[in-house]
Amino acid sequence: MTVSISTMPPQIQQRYNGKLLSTPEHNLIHNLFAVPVELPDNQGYIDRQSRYDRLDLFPVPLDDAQTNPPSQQLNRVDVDCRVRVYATYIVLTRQVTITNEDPVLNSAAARLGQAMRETQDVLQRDNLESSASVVNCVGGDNGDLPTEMQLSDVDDVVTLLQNNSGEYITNMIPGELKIGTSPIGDAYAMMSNTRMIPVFNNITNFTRKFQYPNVSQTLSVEWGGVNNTRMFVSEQGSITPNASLSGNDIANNFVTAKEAYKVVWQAGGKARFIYLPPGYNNDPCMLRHTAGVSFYQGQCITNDLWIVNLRSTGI
Amino acid sequence: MLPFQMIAGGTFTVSVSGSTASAVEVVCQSQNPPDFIVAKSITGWGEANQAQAVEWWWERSMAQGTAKGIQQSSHATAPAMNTKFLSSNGIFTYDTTNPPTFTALAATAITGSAGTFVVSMTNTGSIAVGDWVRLTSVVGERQISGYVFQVTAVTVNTSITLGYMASSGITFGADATAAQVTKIIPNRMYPRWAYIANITQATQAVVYFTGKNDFTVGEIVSFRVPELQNGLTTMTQINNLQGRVLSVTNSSTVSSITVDIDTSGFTAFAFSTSLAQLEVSPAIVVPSSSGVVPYNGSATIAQQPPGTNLLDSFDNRNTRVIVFGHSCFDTSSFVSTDGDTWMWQAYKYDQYNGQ
Repeated sequence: MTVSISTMPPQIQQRYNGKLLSTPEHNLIHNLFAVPVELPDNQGYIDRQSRYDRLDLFPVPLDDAQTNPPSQQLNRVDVDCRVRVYATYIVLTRQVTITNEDPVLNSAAARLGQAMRETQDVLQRDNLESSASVVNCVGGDNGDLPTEMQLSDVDDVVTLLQNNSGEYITNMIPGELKIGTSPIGDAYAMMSNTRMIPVFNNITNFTRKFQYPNVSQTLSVEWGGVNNTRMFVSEQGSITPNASLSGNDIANNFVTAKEAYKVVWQAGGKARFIYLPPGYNNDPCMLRHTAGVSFYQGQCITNDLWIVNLRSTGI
Repeated sequence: MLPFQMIAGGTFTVSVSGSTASAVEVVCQSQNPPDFIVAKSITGWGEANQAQAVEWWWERSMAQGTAKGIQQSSHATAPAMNTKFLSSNGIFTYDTTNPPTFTALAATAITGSAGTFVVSMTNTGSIAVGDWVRLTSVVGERQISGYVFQVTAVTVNTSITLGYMASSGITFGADATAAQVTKIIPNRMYPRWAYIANITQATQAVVYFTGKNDFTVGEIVSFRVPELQNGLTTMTQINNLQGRVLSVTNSSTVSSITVDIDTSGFTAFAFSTSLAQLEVSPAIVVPSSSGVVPYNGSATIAQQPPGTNLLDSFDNRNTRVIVFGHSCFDTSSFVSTDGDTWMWQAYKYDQYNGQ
């Protein structure tokens, strides 16, 4: 009998490569521009922050009698944010961990961590989707409402945020003597789904990140910018399916100024990885490990005038 | 460890009007979907002279919306039991952060000119009273294309009524002649912005919405009412103004809030027309902040002792729900009695088929 590779036993034909393949991980963008707030333990589960409203200006001079003017009323508003608890876990039999050459618990920890961070991001996304005011893009020409995003739409939102005294998130990237680059102004941040990339690339004067004069102050999740807005993209950016005038998908692009929204973590409830060896959880024969994660988080808009959902089709 | 865990359970009451029952939704606060769901009628089990269903169950190998169960016949002493399969409107479960999607259904008319907002549909699908629907591709009333409404009445395979829109008092210049109607299940992040159906001109403005609203007394809300195109006017004076909610109405047909904003001198609220250039954003109310709870709807007197509204906290109210469809309680002649009590349980397998 001829010995060929087809007659070799499977153990000879196959080599188990110990280097694991990559697992897709989503970009985390929605908490990037949130103000982080810590809720101390033993002080309730609703974080209240307050803001004093502006006072009226007083350009009229006092009369010669020097009569005291009427007083103004100082007004305060409160914003409440409830913290909730999130947790998940996996169960591995001890047989798996002592049979398998691969350190499965290590991979479990990595995947749990990824799921936790992506969950934190999605919670903020859903919060912005439900509570940020909406502005439809109208500058495009695809005949839908909203239309696909154009430069005029981005400028309209920048104007709106400027009218509302919203502060920029990032500082200007000034021009440099580098061929093919273009300066970027002080900017608000836009959080978008990756399906918006072709729409961004078609915006007049859109500057891709690689065309910035200096990329030292950028993030890997940043796609580019135009005038006074910089765009950050994620696969789990917000989409409302079949929701436009013509029934097409709408991309919800959250444009935020500084201190427009926040994320609240409880001091004693920060993200934790929890490993329990065999013997816990009604496991008298010590047959099962568990690996879990938990975190406490709340999220809310702190000033509704400083964040806008700029809705676009064309994706 | 057990091979399964009971992850939730309890009782619910059935609502029946005539021979039509409402679907029942129960909360199953579980990260993972249940694998086995069962419900049994406490009131009806063995009840004399009352033909009705007494048990329904669903197992994860079955299609969502189906159910298998037992109906008992009408008999004075020994009702007979028969097995029954529901192919639709049975039992289904989902979590509200990732709800099921539904196919768009065709509509042939929307009575906006009369202000009744009855949507004619030869196929109403699974749309039931209380469901949310999005209108798209609306011909003749393009100004509400993309809007979301809550349904207040359904005549199966004939029409649905957008009663919250109708009770707002708004009317359009013409009826719609075609539209797509898609049932949606909203996310339950709270508070949520809401579409404005109408705003009255009054010293304390009443703001109507297209479906039940989540706002609470004392909450501060903010208005977004953009300009219309082609010379049309609307209540843009209220744009970006903030107001305190003085009272809330959420009845079966009316959804509104009264706010401490005097709109009596403002321009009347209006939608764009269908023919107008629709380069507009929708008029909405967005949640802004928490305010002092007013005394009996007063705009100036605070509740004594001062009340702090905690109900308006930004919150994640998403959950997993189990829905027992109306067919569980009103299939053919086996109709439950209004107010019947049922028990239910949901289970999760630790191992399913040895896996």
